[in-house]
Amino acid sequence: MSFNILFICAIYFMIALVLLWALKVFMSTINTEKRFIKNIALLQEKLSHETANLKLNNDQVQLSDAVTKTLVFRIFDITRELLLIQKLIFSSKEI
Amino acid sequence: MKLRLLSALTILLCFSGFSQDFNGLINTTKAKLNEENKISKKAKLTADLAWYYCYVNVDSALVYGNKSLDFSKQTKNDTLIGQSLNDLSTVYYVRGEYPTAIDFAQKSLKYRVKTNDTAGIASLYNKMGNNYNKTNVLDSTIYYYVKAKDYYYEINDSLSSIKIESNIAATYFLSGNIKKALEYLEVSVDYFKKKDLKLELSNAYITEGNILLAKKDTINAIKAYEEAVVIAESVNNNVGLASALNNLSTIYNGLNDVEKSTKYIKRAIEIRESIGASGDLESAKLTLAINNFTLGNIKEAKSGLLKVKPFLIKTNANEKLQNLYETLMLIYAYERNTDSLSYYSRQFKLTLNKNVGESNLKFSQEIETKYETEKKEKEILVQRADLAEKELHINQKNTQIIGLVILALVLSALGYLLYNQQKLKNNQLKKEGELREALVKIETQNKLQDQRLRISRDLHDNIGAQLTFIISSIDNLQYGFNLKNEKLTNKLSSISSFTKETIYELRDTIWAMNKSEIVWEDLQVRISNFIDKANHSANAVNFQFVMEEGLEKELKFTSVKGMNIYRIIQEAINNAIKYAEASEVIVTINKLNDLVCFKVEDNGKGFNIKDVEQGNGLNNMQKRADEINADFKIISEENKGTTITLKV
Repeated sequence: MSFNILFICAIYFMIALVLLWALKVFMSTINTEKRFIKNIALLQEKLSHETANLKLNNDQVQLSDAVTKTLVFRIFDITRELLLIQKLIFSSKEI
Repeated sequence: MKLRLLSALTILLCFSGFSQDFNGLINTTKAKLNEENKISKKAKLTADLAWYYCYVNVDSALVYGNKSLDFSKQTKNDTLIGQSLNDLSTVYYVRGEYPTAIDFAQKSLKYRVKTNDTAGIASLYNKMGNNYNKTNVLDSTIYYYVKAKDYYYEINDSLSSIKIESNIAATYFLSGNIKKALEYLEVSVDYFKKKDLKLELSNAYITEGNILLAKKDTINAIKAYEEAVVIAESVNNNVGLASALNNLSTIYNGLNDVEKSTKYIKRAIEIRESIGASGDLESAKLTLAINNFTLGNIKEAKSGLLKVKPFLIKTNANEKLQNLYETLMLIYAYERNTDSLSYYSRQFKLTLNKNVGESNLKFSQEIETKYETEKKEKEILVQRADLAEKELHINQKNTQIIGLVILALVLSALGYLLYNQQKLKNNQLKKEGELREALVKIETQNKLQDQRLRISRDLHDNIGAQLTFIISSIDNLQYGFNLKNEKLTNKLSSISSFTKETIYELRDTIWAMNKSEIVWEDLQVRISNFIDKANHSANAVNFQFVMEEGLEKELKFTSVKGMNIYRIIQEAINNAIKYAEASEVIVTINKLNDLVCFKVEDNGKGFNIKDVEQGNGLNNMQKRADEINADFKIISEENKGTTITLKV
């Protein structure tokens, strides 16, 4: 077999190999894409769940902050009133 | 030599079969020519005269041919010029000036190609083939015959093309290619048989006989000649008939059947005498004379030989002369005529030497030709091998190039696929990264807020416990120590109720915080409970709680929204009780388009919104409404009550 024929055989063998490789890459790309879509969907679901949780927590924190503020004011008022009573008791000497 | 003579005769047969009174035609045409004035007509008539003279007087034919060419050139008509040149070529062919005939044929060809005269072109190629045949240039002969045949096929002139095939067969026969000759001849014979062309068929059979004779197939050669004799007789093909009889005589002479040979040659001589074919006639007479000598008719043989001798000397037919001298030598030896014997013996030797010389020369020429042919054939074979090798090399190169191109394309496709895959992976990683980052951030925030909420809950629990302790301590003080100071008692009661209110508020908030969302039903119950409590604490005020029936039971609010709605209603009712001095408070909940409308109306003293500065209560309501993106309105006039509307 001459060099030319060997060379031609080598070229066509390489074409076959490269074609198989290309096919493998193509299949792998399709699989990667499918996996990617699935992963993204999962992550987005998780994210939306966490966002909903965050919103809920935000609401609760907001309520909690508001009530804490009110409580602070009220405790301040109560303390002030109690101090006034104490003052009244000590000034009147009569219980 | 014998074969060549026979085949040459046969080729001529293909163009014969033309018998007319040419002298009459010549006279008529000449008369017309004298009357004619038009040059184009004169050109045509002189061309006709040249053609007719070919069969009568070749010199006159040449004169008229040249005249025709002059007239044609004057008309500047390409068709006429081509025709005149063609006629001149024929004249030179008949005169035996074959190179000149070829020259004129080629000149005529140019005009016929110009006028696109296919039939004329075919005829010219045929003529050139005939001329080359006469000059023994057999490869050119076959080349032009084949071209003529192709042109005749093009114009569907099957008869002419088959006739040419018959000529090709004869030429192949002359060149020694018997196989090819038979191939062509078979086609011709089949066609002539099919079309019942007896004249042509008889000539074809003669050619077949010649070929078979060359193959030394004597029996079939005799059959072919006999077939030719029968058919030629039926169509009066005298030239062909004479030829076939002559050839049969030659065969039987070779087979030593002198009587049969004599019978056939006598018939041939009769026919040739009747048609005036002088050359062939003398040849036949020689054969007859030799046959007579063989049969012992010495006198007839001698007279016949002596009659033929001058013609053979004149035509330089040396082979025949050799036979003639040999036979005469034998006759004079038989007659014991020593002088004549010695004369013809010398003549015989001279002719023999001449023939031997010619034969040797011819033999060496043939050997040389054969050597040259073989050399050329070898060269052609080498060239063909080179060409085949080059072609193979080119094919391999092409295959390599195609392969490399395909490989490059496939590699490009692979590169693109890999790039695409990598790009996809990068995008995936980027997007996943972004999502994960966002998720981590939110998770961190959630954790942080969870922490804050836990701390808040602990604080609220602690504060709740402390407030309960305060209430209990105040109650213990009030009832345990029997306090007489009214001012002090009132103050303690006020602190106790304030603390209780704070605890309720804390509980409300904890209720809202413990729910991820507040269902409409829960909110409704909460509002209703509050109204009941308000009604209990302010007996003088008539409370009404009106709720439209069409409200959706599945309506849901976020904890912040629900809490803010509840607080606004709470504040509105408290305001109506505390500041408006109202005797009636109506809380209405209904649906307005897609919104839920909460309305708190009282019949209190009201106030002028422009005049009254909004206090903490009104401001808080507005703030809370803004927080939940709700529409908040206060409508109030002095002594006409107040209406607070909240649309969510």
